[in-house]
Amino acid sequence: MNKGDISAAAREWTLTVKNLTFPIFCQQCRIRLLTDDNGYFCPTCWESSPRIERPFCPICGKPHRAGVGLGTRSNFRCGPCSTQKKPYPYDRVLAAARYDGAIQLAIKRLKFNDKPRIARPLGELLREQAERELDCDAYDYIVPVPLHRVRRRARGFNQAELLAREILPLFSDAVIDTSLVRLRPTHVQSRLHTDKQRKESVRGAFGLSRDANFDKKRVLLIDDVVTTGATIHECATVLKKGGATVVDVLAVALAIPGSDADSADLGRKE
Amino acid sequence: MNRPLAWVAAAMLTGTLCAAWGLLPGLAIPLLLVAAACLAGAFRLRNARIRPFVVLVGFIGAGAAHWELNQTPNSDPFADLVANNPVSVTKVEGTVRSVTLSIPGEDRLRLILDIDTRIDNKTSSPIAGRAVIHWTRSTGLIFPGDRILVEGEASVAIAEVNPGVNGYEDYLRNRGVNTAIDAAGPKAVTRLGEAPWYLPWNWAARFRQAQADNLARAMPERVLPFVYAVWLGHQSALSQEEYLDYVWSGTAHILSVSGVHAAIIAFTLNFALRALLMARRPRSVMVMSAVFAYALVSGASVPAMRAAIMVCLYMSADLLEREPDTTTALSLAGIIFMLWDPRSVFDIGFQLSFASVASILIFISLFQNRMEKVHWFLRGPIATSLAVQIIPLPIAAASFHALPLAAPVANLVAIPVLAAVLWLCFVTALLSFIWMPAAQIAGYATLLPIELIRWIAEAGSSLRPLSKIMTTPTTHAWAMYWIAASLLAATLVVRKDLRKSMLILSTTAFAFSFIFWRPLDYEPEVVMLDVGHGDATFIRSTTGETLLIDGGDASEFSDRGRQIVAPFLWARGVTRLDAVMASHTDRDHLGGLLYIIDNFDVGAAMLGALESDRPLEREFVARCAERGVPILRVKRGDALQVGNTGLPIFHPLPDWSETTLPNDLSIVTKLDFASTSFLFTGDIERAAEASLDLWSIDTDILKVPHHGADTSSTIPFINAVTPKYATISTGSHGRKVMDQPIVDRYKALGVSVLRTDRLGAIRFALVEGQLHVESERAKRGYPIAKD
Ligand SMILES: [Zn+2]
Ligand SMILES: [Zn+2]
Ligand SMILES: [Zn+2]
Repeated sequence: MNKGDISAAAREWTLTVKNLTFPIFCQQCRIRLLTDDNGYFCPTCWESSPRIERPFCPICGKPHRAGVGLGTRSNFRCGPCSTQKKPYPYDRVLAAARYDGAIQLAIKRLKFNDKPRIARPLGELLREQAERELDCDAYDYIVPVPLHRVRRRARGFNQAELLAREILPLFSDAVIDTSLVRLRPTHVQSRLHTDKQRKESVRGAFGLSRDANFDKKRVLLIDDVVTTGATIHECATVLKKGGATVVDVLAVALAIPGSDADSADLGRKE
Repeated sequence: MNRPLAWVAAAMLTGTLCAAWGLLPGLAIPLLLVAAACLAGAFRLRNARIRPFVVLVGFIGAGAAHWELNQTPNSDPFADLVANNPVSVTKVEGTVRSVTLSIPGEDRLRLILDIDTRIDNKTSSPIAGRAVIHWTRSTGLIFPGDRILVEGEASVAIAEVNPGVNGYEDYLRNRGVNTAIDAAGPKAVTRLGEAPWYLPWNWAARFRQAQADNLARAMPERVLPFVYAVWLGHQSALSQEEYLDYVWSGTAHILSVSGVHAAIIAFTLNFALRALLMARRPRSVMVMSAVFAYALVSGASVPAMRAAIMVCLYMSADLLEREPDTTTALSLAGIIFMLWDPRSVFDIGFQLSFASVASILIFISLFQNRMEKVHWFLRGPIATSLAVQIIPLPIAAASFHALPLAAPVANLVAIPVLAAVLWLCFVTALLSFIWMPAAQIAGYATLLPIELIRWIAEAGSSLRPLSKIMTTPTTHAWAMYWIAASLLAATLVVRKDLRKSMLILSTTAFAFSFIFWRPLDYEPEVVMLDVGHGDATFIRSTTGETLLIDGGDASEFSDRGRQIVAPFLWARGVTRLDAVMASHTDRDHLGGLLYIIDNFDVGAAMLGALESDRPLEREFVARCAERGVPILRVKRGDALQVGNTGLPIFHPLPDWSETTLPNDLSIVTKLDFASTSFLFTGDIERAAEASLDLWSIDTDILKVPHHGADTSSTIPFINAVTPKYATISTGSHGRKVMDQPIVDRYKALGVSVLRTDRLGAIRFALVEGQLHVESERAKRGYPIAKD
């Protein structure tokens, strides 16, 4: 028996013992998982969660409704984005999936159930999308949307930072920068119900730490989920004020108002 | 249920239980194992569906085999030696196995010793055995693993043994202890050598003792008994009254270190360390070691160790990058305990602990789903405190007999306060090793939460009239209950359309279980309980009336009524007594009856005709009045009628001036029991014996007057009774009035003498019309001393 065989056998046995002592189950359909590949969701649930694929709006990231531009593999601006000249402080939003199904559940577990390891499959999703849709050499800084230090301490980690670390190897020239900070604690966005409330709650919530240097830099802002865009709007404004030339947003999931996916989560007025 | 270890645990438990109850004798076990192995080989390649069943059969066999292998009794030559030379002064050497905590005010200590050498006239010879040593702290402290020399009176370890009651002797025998050595005096115990430094239980015991000594200085005396119980797992400092408050408010479980305590420590420590920004891995390691340290220092009770194992599994899941699974963690903890010692399955702590956690796991969603209107903050705790009751209910009924209605509410308040107490204890213990004044600040701060818990317990126990007394369920009720619980659990997983019919089935099963909770037909019996020095006799007449004559002794340290008589009755399904008779007003007869009057539905109480103003009699009369029990004063010539059972009264005389001795005023009465008859004599002495009408007292079975003392049992009296059996109710320790010449006198007259100190409880029953005599000690296979 050669060395490779032994280590393969050892790995198999370790997996068996792990499966016996710490069985894991799909968070959505409760089926038993026998590998650590995803660790939280079975392939069926994970794959059936809707992704955002071309065609989508290159500015706000929203996928075009089925039937619109059917068969086109190239993106085009959506209605609101094409009528306004410079609609947002950020340059574009790219999301990997809709905020729905297994991925929505995964993000909730990551944030609220103290399961930082879900960042791995989510990061993988993010990486695939970035590889397809972004020019990975075009950024100097990768900036995770910050948490207030009190909440960061309570949670033990910042989910956006975990995601940023997952995708970092893809960006050869970029480094993670954490000099964007949250100055005051804000409400959890998904618990606020109206657009106005959300915008109000993040106004002036972000700032730059003293050693920040975004002058003429290209920034990729990372977030777990973009709901109304209030948070990234505020972050991008601060970064642009700090001198950044480009601010692109990369998020795992994009909540799409009007889709039946999470009307409960987005509130009643939307 | 796709958790393999849960199935393995269930299979091992099945195997263990089957072997323990003798359902899988001899050949069946190896056959099961071989069959499983063959089938596994045959099916390995072809049928993946049958394989799990084969593996389970294998584990049933393995569980049974493990039990059988553990059953070979430890040979105890030292016990044989002691049994053959009763009450002999011996000198033995050995290694200490465990010690009790030494706290101020408790001078008499116990330790368990593994004996290896006996010293006889300065020559030492090897001998094996395990004994419990009673000693005093004046000889200095001793810890597990130390080698000691003990000199004292050795005897067979004996305590009261009664049907349906778990007592001190059962505790000793379960630990393989067969002898007791009374080593009073300062030089009786000498330390020969210290334990090797690496023994963890030696360190745990030292640390525990050091904490006990420090806490005694850092905390107000008022809270010490409570702190000893919840922090160090030492309960005996609590007064009986206080303990009963906790029992009747349903919060007694917080007094013995259990999973709740370990979980509080783990949860709050994890939370605090996280707030201090400690990284996940070092935090896990800290929490694991803290919980294990707490479990060890608090006396390593089964529930605490179970919780510590589960916390470890939880924390190590994180290290292995997996999610913890509570069901599997519980199963693995169970497997570990069953492998460590299969007898732990019969430990009440083990049963309650595992049943409670399993109950929460299975039923919490049942309650949570129905409480959408309750505030989310309260939903979890309320659902937990309801769910935790379901599976353990029959076990709790069989061991505590109380179903306090205040329990869910009292626990909801008391457990968060307990968390505060545990943390203050931790801080005090820590500071007391650094700077005593600071420790005292924290120590005195415990006053507030502990007083609050005590207040909750008192308030809860004042609701005692609303509480329900649960007798031990019959086997049928037991099985039916768990079928009902399984059906209820099944409603949570089956299809929606089946749910309603499942629920109806489950409710029906629950109803049947409660209908058959008590036995439907009872055997007539007369049981002379083993209450040490004192009397207590339970009678179920041939016509079905229940009668209790005397209730044993009760002092501020122990109450036979509470510890022996009541549990015995509840284990028999008795909650109503048609009559209670106090032969006379001495404490060793009347003392235990107070608890019986308080906790049973009593038809009538009977006392001798001559009233006195002894405090105990006044108290008894007052309690009877409070509970609405009519008192009958009986005298010679009365023909008492309890239901269909006649009790002619032969003594006392209505106005007898010959003596004022309470003993001589004892009630003497006769019971006809099918074709035999009993004579109950209380504590009458010579004068009363002489005054009896000798023609009326001829009976088959005589309860020997005055515990076999030579104040009584005159030869004319014995000749008048001409009994076949003479029963003596006497203790083997402490106060004892029995005289050997009296025993010999009966024997010389051809009477068989039955003594409770030798035989345990003595039971006379009718088996197919024939009188049948049973000794509880013989029934349990415990040693019986011979003359
Ligand atoms: Zn699934
Ligand atoms: Zn757009
Ligand atoms: Zn007496």
